[in-house]
Amino acid sequence: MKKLSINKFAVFFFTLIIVSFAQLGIKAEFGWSPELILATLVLSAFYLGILEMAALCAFGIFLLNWRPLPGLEIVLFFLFPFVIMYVKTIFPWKGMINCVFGAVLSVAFFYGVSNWGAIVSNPIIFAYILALTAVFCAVLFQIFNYFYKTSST
Amino acid sequence: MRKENLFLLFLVLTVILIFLYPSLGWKIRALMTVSGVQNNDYKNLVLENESLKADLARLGALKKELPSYRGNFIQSSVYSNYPFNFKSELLINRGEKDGVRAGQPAVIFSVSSKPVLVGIVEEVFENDSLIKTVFDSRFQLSVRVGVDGANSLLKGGNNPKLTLIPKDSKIENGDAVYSVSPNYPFGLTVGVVRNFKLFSDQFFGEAELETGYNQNDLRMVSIDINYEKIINQ
Repeated sequence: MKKLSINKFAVFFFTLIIVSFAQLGIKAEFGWSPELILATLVLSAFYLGILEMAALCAFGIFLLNWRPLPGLEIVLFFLFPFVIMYVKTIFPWKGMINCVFGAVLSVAFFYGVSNWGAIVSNPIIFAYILALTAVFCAVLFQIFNYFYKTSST
Repeated sequence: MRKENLFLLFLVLTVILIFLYPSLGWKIRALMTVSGVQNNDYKNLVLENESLKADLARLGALKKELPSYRGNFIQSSVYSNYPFNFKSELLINRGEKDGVRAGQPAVIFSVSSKPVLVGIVEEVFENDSLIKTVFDSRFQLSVRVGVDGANSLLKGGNNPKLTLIPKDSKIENGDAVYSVSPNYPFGLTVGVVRNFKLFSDQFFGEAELETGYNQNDLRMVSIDINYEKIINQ
């Protein structure tokens, strides 16, 4: 079994908190924001073990849940990192490409399932969301890659 | 304690919090949500101005005095709001046991206690309810604009839009917008017109809706618990 790391988990935990501040702040200011939290959770699939990632995802949905009981969006949010964790082992590309594609596809699938009509009526904003999420994911991946090895290598 | 057990404990505790104490998460998120600080007096005056304009427009358009809309409102606190893009939902602390039903209008009040539409009750739980606001991309409402009462369709979103405004309408920026949908109280203030545009090659004009409040600043809304939505219209 892969060795678990409390330090690495703590770094991701605080990154998630900072990213949550950023995402919610941007949304409050501009009315929309890139999916920074989802990108961070997808990224965690490349660096953390399954138990650490499950704990991080649970904390993420604890922050994001806005209903008495978690709805479809929250369930999707929890599942995506696990799907990415599995899928990354299948695709042969570099970790960063897998991670960026994983984040972009997660966001696309997330809105496709939860609010398809909004994508059709706001294609430009949706394109911005995808592009900015991809850029954020690539930058964050590089930062983590400098300090840690990905769990796939 | 082994490291696996620590993570497992963290996971279990978080899941317990999600299901048993979701309000803790809502409070933490409320602290994280930063919004532009705006003078309260200014916001109240904007709301007041909107509701007075809507009154003037409604009465002017119909040329007779109408009974003003007086609902049976209960006040509620906003717990939480939708954290992702495109939708705008508010979770409030009033539910089925307080008499809240799906379809009832949610409003905020101007200084002179005139209601301004915020949204509609979308889903009701025992102690809480979800409100779909005018900032939700799924929100649509038939409205009239200005003293001439030009018909329009309000489409929700980050910047709510007034669409299908007839080309010959005499509308100016700042004109009041009020509801005429059978599913909403007649004459309820929605906002005022901003950036009205007429294109020579199109049959209809478009404008933006100025609501006079910021959706992120909403901490209290009121629900008309006597209002019964007219079904199948």
